[in-house]
This record gives sequence, C-alpha cells and structure tokens, in this order.
Amino acid sequence: MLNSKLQTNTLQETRANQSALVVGNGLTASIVTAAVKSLGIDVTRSKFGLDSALLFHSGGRGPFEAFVRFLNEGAFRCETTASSTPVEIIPVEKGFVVTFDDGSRSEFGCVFFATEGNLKPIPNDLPDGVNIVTPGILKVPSSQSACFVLDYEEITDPSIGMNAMRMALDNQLSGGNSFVLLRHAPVQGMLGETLYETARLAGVRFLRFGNIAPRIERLQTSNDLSIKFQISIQDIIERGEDILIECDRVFVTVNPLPADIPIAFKHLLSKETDPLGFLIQDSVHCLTGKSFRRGLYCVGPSTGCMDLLETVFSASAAAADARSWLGLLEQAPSSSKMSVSEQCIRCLTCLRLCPHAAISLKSQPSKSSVNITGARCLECGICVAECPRNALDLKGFPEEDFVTLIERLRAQNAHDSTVVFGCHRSAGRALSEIELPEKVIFFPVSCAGRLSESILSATLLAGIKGILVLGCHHGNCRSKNGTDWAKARLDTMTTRLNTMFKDIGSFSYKTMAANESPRMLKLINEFLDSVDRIPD
Amino acid sequence: MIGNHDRRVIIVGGGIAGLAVARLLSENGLPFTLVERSDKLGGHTKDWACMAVDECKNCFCCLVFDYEDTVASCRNSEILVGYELSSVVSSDSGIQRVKVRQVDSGAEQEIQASALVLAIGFDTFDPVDKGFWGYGQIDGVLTLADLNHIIRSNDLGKLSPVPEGALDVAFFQCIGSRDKSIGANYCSQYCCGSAIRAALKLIHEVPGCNVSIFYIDLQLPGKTTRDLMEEAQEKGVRFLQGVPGEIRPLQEGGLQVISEIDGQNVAERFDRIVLSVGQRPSASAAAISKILGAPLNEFGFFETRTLFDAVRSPANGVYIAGSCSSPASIPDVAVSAGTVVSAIIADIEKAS
Repeated sequence: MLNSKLQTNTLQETRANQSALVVGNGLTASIVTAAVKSLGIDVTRSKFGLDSALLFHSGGRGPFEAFVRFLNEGAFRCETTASSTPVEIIPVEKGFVVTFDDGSRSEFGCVFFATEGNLKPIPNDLPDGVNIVTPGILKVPSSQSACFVLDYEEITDPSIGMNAMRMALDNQLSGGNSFVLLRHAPVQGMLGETLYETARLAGVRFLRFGNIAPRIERLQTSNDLSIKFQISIQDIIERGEDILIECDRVFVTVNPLPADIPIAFKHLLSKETDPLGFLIQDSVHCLTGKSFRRGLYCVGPSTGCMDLLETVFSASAAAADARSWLGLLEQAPSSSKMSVSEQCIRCLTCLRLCPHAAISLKSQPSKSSVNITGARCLECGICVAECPRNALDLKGFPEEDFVTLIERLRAQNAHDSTVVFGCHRSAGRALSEIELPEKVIFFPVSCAGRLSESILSATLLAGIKGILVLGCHHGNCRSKNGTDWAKARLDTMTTRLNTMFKDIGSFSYKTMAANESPRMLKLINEFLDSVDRIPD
Repeated sequence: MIGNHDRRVIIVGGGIAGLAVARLLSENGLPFTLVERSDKLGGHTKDWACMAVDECKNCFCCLVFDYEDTVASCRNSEILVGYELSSVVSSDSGIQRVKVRQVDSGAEQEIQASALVLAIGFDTFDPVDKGFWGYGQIDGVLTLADLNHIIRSNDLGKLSPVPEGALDVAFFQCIGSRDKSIGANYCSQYCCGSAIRAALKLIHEVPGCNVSIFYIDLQLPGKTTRDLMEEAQEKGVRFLQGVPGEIRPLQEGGLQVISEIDGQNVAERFDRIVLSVGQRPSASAAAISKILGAPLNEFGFFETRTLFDAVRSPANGVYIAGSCSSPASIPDVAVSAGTVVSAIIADIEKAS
C-alpha cells in the first residue's frame, strides 16, 4: 500500500548530522530547547540576552509552577551549550554557518531566536509605588487590598490582562480584597470566561471605565512603611458615577515593548520585523514563528507574544516545521530548481535580493560561484528578473516559455488580444472558477516578481492590446515582496515606454487572492473596458 | 506502535485544521489518510472572503488554498472525500485499525492506523436557536458567515437598499458566545478580528457605508490587532459597548435597535445588522466521542489531557487539532496543527 522503506529512511536521515541552535538565555529558550529535542533534533543552546526570564516568573500556582519546575529540573537540558554569543549567521547550502564571539564557527541546520522581551515602562503620570503586571506566572501580592488597572494607556493585550485577573483572584482567595478596573474584560481561550466568572463570584470587584482613564493618587500616610492609594473612576455601568477606591497596592498592565533586536542578527532579520518592531513579519506565511528565510524561527516575547501557553505551543509548532525543513535540507539536491549560466559575474545581486536566503556564494580559490539551495528556493524568480547579466533561469518556469508566448502573439498578429499574467498562488487558482472573456490569454507565473521589465515590454511590443498583471495582495506575497517588485517595474515602464512609443498597448497591475474569483473577472473586464476606451 | 510506518495517521476532518496537519505530517515523512465527510475540502475557510483592502489584512483565509495544494501533491498518502469514521480498534498502546464508511454508499474500508487526529472543526451558532434577533424572519439581519459569502461572490452592491445609496451597517458581537444560557460561556476567539476586518472592507468597497460595532468586551489578541482597531476608528467605525438584545423592523424600511450610549437609551436605525456568530461544538462531536472513547468537556468540545498537553486526548493515540478542542482563529489553528504533528513525532521518538 505504501513504501514503508522510504518512510523509515526519511526518519533516520533527518536524525543524522542535523542540529539546531537555540539562541536565548531565559525560559523561552528552555521551552524551545525542550520542544526541538523532543523531536530527536540535537540542540546547541547559545546563552544570549537576559540572564533569566524576566517575563515568566516562577512564583505562581498550579500547572504553571509544575511546568516551570519540569523545565528547570533539566528534563530537557541539552548536552551542548555554547557559552559564547553568535555574532554572525550566514545561510549556506546545508543550513547556517554561525560565528561566535570567541571566534569559533559551527554549522547548524536551523536557528531559533528565543530571546526574552521587555514590557513598556510604567506610564509617566502614575505615582511612585505603582507596579506593573508581568505576564506568564505571577507572584501573588500578600493579602491586602489590591487594585489592578487594565487598558490604562492603550487596550491591554488579553494574555497580560488575564494574568492580572489571575493575580486579583489569587489575592482575593488568600484573604485580600481585589479590584479590577478595565475597559474590556479579557476572556481569551476557552477558560477565559470561566476565570472572569470565578473572579466575580469570589468577590473580586470589576469596574468599567469609558474614555476617561481612572485617576490614581498616592495618599500621604503617617507611617512611612505603609502606602495607600486612592483611585477615582467613572464607572460606565454605574451610569457615570464617580467611584472612590482606597487600596494598598496598585498594579497596572502595560503591553510588550518591541524587543531590541541583537545587532549581530540585524543583517539577517532587520527587514523581517512587524510594523511594531517585533521579530518576524506580520504575514500569513510567518505563522508559527517561521521567517521568510527558511530555517530561521522566532518564538516568544521577542515576537511580541507574552503568553506562556502560546509560547509553548508555537515552540512545538515551529519545531515540527524545523524538523521537516531539516529533512528537506538532506533530500533536496542543490541547484535543482535553477540554472546559473556562464554569464554570471558574481555581482551578488541575486544573493542580496533573495527573500528566502536561498542563494549563497561558494568561495573557491580559483573561481567562486553562486550556489542555490534547492530546499530554500520557492521559485519566485525575483533574482531571475533582476539579474543584470540574464544569467539565471528557473527550470520549472523557464524564460523560454515567455519567448514562446511572445512568438505566438507575433505570429498570430494578436493586436486584439490581451495578456493576463497572474501569480499561480492567487490568480492561477481563482481561474478555475471563472470563464475568461474572449481574446484574453491567461499566462500563469510562479510569482509576479518573476515578470522582468524585458518580458513585460517584449510582450507588449508583440502588438497586443494590453497586459494586466495580477499579483497577490501587498503583504501576502509568499516571497515577501515579489508583488511589490512587479508593481515597481510596471511603474517604471509606464514612464519609459510612454515617452518612447505613442501607439503602444496599455498595462495595469492589480492584486488579488485565490478566493476572489468573481473579483478577478471584474478586474479583467474593467481592464478590457479601459483598453477599449483608448482611441486609436 | 506509532513508529511503524506501514500504518498511517488518520486525520478526521478536511477543514483548515485537518489540511494543516496533513501538510506538516507529509513534510515530515509520515503518511496519512485524510477523511472528509462532506464533498469538498477546506471547510468554513474555503467559503469565507478575502479581507484585503489595498493590502493584505491577515484574515488568513487564503492559507487554506496553500495547504490544499501541498496536501493534494503528497505521495504515500490518501484523501477520502465523502467518507466518515465508523469504528476503531484500539489497544493499550493506542489506535490499531480504523474503519471508514463512504457516506453515500455505506461501503466500509479498513485502514491500519498508527494514530488518529481529530480535526472536525466547529459549527457556527445558529441565531434561530435564540430567536430574539429575528434572524431568518427579519429582512436585513444576516450572520458574519452570510456577509462573507456576499463579499466572496463580489455582490456587495446587494447590501444597499437603494442602489448607490447610503448604507448603515451594525455588527453585533458575541452572538452565541459568552452566553451561559446556551452553555456557551466562552469567547469564540475569531469574531472581534473578523468583524473589524469586515467593517474595513465594507467601508472600502461600498461608498457611503457607515459601520457601528456593538460589543461586550473587545478581544484583540495578537500584536497588530490593536492597530487594526485604531485604523477602523480612524475610518469612522463606531465602537459601542453593549449589544442590543432586540431588532425591530421599521415600517418605512430598515431596522431599529435600542442602544445605550452614555447611560441614555438611544433608538438607532440600520439597513443591515450582521450577527457575529460564535463557534459551537460540531454536531458530530458526540458520536465521534463515543466511537473513540475520547471525552468531551463541559462545553461539548474534545477534552485534552492538561493545560500544557493540549493536543492529546485522554484516549490513547488520539490527538486533537484546531477548533474541535477549543474555539480558534486561523492562526490558533495553525499553531494547534503544528503542536499535534510535534506531539505525534515526539511519541514516535519516545517509542523508538
């Protein structure tokens, strides 16, 4: 029924000579190490960053505490620990070459960034003595009256807000008095609502404010050792009445602060941050900690995730992906997807542009060469389109196919035809649900980024009515910026060709997704209308 | 013995969770058989719309196509569409054999199994079950799923009562979620983000469209969801705390709701009201629970072992992916699927 021998081989192969480097010094790195090791991958852990976990305390109760003990007891302690810090990480054919600060150098199949993160500082306008709520596992304040203020400067991340609720409940159960002040009760996960309800039933008092944040003041006390706070809040449930609360402790929630990306990794990851500055991009292709540069993963607080459970699960998910990646590194023969011709002058344009870090330079005394890692290459063709020497080609989607198309258009004298170039990931899939209008030729491309200026102008100069390029939406490209490359090239061409030719066909660029078939048809028809409107 | 590769990992359910598990299993060299009861793969996600507005807004729906393509090209594995689970034979070490039945013909076939992954997903809450929003009776009341289907078919023009006229849309959050009276006292995880994205889409696509979102508590998990809300506020989306309990059709057309603004009851008129329906346990969960001896929790979702071991069922050899163990957004599902595959491989490693 199935080739069992092949499968067994696959499992063993991935085990041999494959290892991961986990960069980080806190609990996150321990979690990642545990996850990676449990899949049979050798781990080297490089101590880097904060000495201990700032964000995951171990003073909590219940399962959290047991889990941290489990990790600390060394159930997954790795045999190899590099005490030095990585200063350079270079993608090579079989993974990454990492140079450490002591000058040593090692090769790893994959690298996990699992450094700890930071929280924003306490808001300026709060009096001395106010604490911040740290996520993860929390120390319970001694049984006093404690006030937890969520959503103070901005809406609190629900995982941090829920930790404040846990603290409030703990304090209430151990004889204290808890108040929770918020705009939005955090009820994440299936048990969030239960936690909220349990806290309410236990006597934790919830007060809800609107646009006006509560005013927190420190009271003068006769005894220097004791502190008291007074908080006034306009409760929107109690019809805007001002409510005064006196309490011994005040905790305010703040959101994660974008991590300081280690300078050593900047050249690898500086362009892969989200709009807030956290590691890896906010893209559909970067779920579960995957970077666009295959084999690099980021998990935990440095990605803006402050939830312990979420960190545990994303570490496992990233580990499963890393394991498949290591298998791929073993199997995929290099250069199988691309060809490099003698025209190559090793200008390294391709190396700089590749979003997947699939291109490396093989240095040799006599002649160095450009090397393509088949496992990393997703055949977007951005490098092919930008190569100044036209030395590269995709084997699966060769330039020859475009030449054939252009020759056919010429031979047919296709002046009434329109060519639609569409990314196979979006337009290519949506195509199956629509019927193309007459005289429209659809040509699927591996990525809109493959469409070089020369292909676009040659197609247009074959005498057709126009070209419509359909790429994936900005921010959705599987190769990060292939879609933006296509748009930029078309913009340049508009300027160039319009000054050179008068009676040339028109072209346009639109973006779409695989589930937008009806819209695709609309875009094509709108383009056809606009082309027809141009007077002869 | 899970490590025996003559046997397969059985995946029950071909929605985004099942596909995500299948893809990652096969990338790790483990053969699978995916069983999907309906006649197509992709589940809910396949019918939902792209929420891009000039640029991708990370609704994640397009991922289902990426997963499906990879799964379709997997070697050594099979996909059975139109089949359902009928029985299993287990031993102490886990699942041994699984029988699947073709839904149409009733014909059964047996598969040697090494493990079983439940990925049967969720059912959307049917607002008819709790009649006071008038869903199905009053024109103009639709669910978030209905709205997605309209956007997907590029039929947004249908929403405005007067062609090219103004369109006032309200979203009601937490419909069928956080509701103890129906045993759903949990947050459904996906709806706040989905409603905000849909609001942005409507404003972008329909000229003259005004959107109000009525909510209980906004849940904005993930690092950039808060930005999405700010963007919506800048584009004029009103966020109002408190979900009206009743919708009344007006004689002159439109829908009236009474909302509380700054402590005052205010009557407002809308053309369309979108109910952000929550995730309920799949209707087939109870039957599958019985077949496998995999217990359900108090809400009717599949129970998992502990808080940190959240993908293994107490039933040996059964793993649980995606929203059948807990309501989930698509990123949650991707993480859950990865965790399942990780757990399966870790169990193989432990056994060998």
